Formats: sequence, structure tokens, C-alpha cells
Amino acid sequence: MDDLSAHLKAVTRVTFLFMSLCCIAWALLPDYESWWGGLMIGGAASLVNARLLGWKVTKIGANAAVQGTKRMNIGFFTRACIALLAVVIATQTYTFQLSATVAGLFVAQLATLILGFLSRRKLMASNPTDERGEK
Amino acid sequence: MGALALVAAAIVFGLGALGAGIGNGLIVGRTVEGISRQPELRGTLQTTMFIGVALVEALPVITLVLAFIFLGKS
Repeated sequence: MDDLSAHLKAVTRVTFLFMSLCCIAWALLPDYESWWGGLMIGGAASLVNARLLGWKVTKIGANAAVQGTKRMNIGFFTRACIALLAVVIATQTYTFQLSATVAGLFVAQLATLILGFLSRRKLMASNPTDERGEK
Repeated sequence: MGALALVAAAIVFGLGALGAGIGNGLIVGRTVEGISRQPELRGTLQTTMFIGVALVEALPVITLVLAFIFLGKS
């Protein structure tokens, strides 16, 4: 039942690892601070977006499981506004690179994709047949 | 240049939102249908939906930022 929360925890861990690597890179290569700062702000915004999406998906799943008739959304507008806020903070408040911020916005998505493939592969290796007993 | 930048922003965000809307609708619809049929698979289906929606929404986020860059240059 809590596949999604485990997946979200792994995504959070990977994103924090990425941001800490950016901190180390900022310390080692301060000439490129606008790039590292942009990547960190984008990574933080993408983590917030991923957690928000996970919360929404859980709510939609719970509603579907009880055959609820409540109308729900997946909150794209909120996530788009968070991404835009990150870009505005990075480019207007600080002088970070816009392209680095936009690249940082996809760290959590990339982590989601890679961790999803890895967990799927692990699942297939541990259970080589499907529920009907077929390969 | 100004009017063309506005048109470019409208086209880039409109097409991105159109594609993401269709994709999200398909993903969420099939997931809700699957959970309604088999509630015991809710965890697996939710994870698949999360991965799918996260990937689909990467495109409109890029187009939104691009649209605002175009608007800023108009």
C-alpha cells in the first residue's frame, strides 16, 4: 500500500543528495556560483513539486478506492506557479542562471524516472512471472 | 518583435498545456479505473501514476518558463 511513500522518500533522498553536491561544487568552484545556485533553487522547487504531486496522487487514489464521487484535480497550476516562483527568485532576487534553474526543476522528475525503472527491474527479477503465471 | 513574442508565448504554452492535458487525462483516468476495479493494487497503480504524471508535466513547465522568457523579451 505504501509503495508511493517509499518512492517519494527515495526521490527526496536523491534530490537532497543532488543539492548537497551542488553545495560542495559551489565551495570548490566559486566562479560558477550562478550555475550552482540556480541548480539548487530549481532542485528545491522540483522537490516541493514532487511532494505536492505525491500528496495529490494519494488523495485521488484514496477517493477512487472508496468509489467516491468527489471532484478532484492534480494541482498542475500550483506546481506551475512554484516553478515560476523559483525562476523569478533565481533570476530577479539573485543573479543565478536561468538555464541552470530550469535544469534544476527536473531533478526530481529525473530521479523519479530512474528510481521507477530500477524498482521495476528489481520487482521483475524477484518475481519473473505475472499474476497469471506467465513470463 | 513585440507582437511576435506574444504569439510565440501563446503558441508554446498553449500547445504544451494541450499535450499535457491529454496525457494527464489518460493517465489519471486509467489509474482511477484500475483502482476502482482492483483496490488492492492501489499502491502499485499510484506509483505508476506518480511517475507518469511527473514525466508528462515536465513539458508544460518548460513551456511555461519559455513563454515568460518570450513575454519578458516582448
